[in-house]
Amino acid sequence: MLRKRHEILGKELHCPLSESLEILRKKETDYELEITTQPPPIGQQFTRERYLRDVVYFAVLEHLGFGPINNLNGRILRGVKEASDYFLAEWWRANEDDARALDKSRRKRELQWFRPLRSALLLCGLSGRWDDVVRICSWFDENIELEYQAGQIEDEYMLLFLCIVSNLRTEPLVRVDKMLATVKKCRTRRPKLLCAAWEAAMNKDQKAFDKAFKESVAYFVKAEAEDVPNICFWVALDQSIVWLIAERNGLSFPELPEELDAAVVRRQTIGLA
Amino acid sequence: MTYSIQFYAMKEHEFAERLRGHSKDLLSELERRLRAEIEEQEEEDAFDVEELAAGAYDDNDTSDEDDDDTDNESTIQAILNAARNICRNDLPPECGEEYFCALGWLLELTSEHITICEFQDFRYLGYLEDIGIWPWFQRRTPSFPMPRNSKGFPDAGFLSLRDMPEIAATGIQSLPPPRDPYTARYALNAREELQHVLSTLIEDQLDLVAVLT
Repeated sequence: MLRKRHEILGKELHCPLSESLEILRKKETDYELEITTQPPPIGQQFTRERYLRDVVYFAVLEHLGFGPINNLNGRILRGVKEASDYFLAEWWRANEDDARALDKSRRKRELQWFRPLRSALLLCGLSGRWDDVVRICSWFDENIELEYQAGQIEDEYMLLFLCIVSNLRTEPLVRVDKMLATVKKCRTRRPKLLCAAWEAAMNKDQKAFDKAFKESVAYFVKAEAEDVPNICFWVALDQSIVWLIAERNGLSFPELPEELDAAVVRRQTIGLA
Repeated sequence: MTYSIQFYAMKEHEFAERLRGHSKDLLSELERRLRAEIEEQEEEDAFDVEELAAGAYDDNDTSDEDDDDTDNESTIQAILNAARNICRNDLPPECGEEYFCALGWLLELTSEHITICEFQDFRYLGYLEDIGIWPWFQRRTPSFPMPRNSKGFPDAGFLSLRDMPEIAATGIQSLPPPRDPYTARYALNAREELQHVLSTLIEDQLDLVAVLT
């Protein structure tokens, strides 16, 4: 009998599945209430960002073998819509904190783009909604600042995502070559390994992709995967994004050792292809 | 309280020369950066006060602001003074926090800052002992003035390019296993990441300074 992916990864839920699903469904209902009936000026940025993460959570549950998740495709498509709204709608006007997080015209701002972008790319890639990706990426410009991450994420890692954004837009960002050069010069491994896989995907170089992708996922499994209640930390979500881009560019999924294979979320592992 | 190590790649003798020969420029630039940072912080604080005043708290009392200005100015002066003393090689035997802050700034202005996530925001110094790399940073005295603190925190360390090949090739691999089972994985990752960073520094012929705060 085939083992489920969470078994391959040696992970078990920290609370019963029914409880997790109930919490997620409750958060979905709360989200509807909060974004539709909540009177301003109560902030929505965190709620909106969390919603995107929760949709990713549903997809990861399915991927790991905890499904079937009811209406997963519908949930992901709704996630894509909310991701578009996060960046492109003007819901943030009613609240100062929200405006600082999303209003690019402000001088004093603390833009919150990094985590929502990763959720957005994953959800759009899983559902094949690449037109929405183009629209979401149009929000970005060359003046977007890197977020403060208290040293937990390298600046170069965030820069890499700006490079990815640049490539997914209709027009590349100004100075993207400089950004990419900075990422490639980074002295730590995480940004460089993911960058190598992404570049191979961009160049449609299957052989280089197979090697670089494997190294990046292996690095994730060894150094980054966490055995914590949040199952999104069990799987290589950023590498999954790079895979979805590679797949769109016509590359094949590389042969990976079982554990690495189980760490990559893809359309096929959640029943969308 | 959490601890972090900031790493800076540089050429030892070039940095020493910058401190000796161009200290005036360096100190002016440092003052400019410190003031810009404080100004930015003050704008943030002003924004927060406006928000509070507009919100649930009916408190327009700004009497604390004058105290903050004085505190900020004395912080700037303490760091500048420490930086001046570093440039002059006039260091007390036991350096206070302002010296390590000043060293960090001087390096920030002249060197390549390397963030290694595994060395950021750790909660107890035993983790650094478990990683096991710090003694290598204490082995040599660099040719530039480096503040020290016998209590072990805050502190600074220097790893010469000369020592790197041996540490990268065999030193890190022969460290004993970390003792704390809860953080062992992070400690091992920290070693590996440093090993990788060292291999790139050897390629680029650079020394490494670490500032523990």
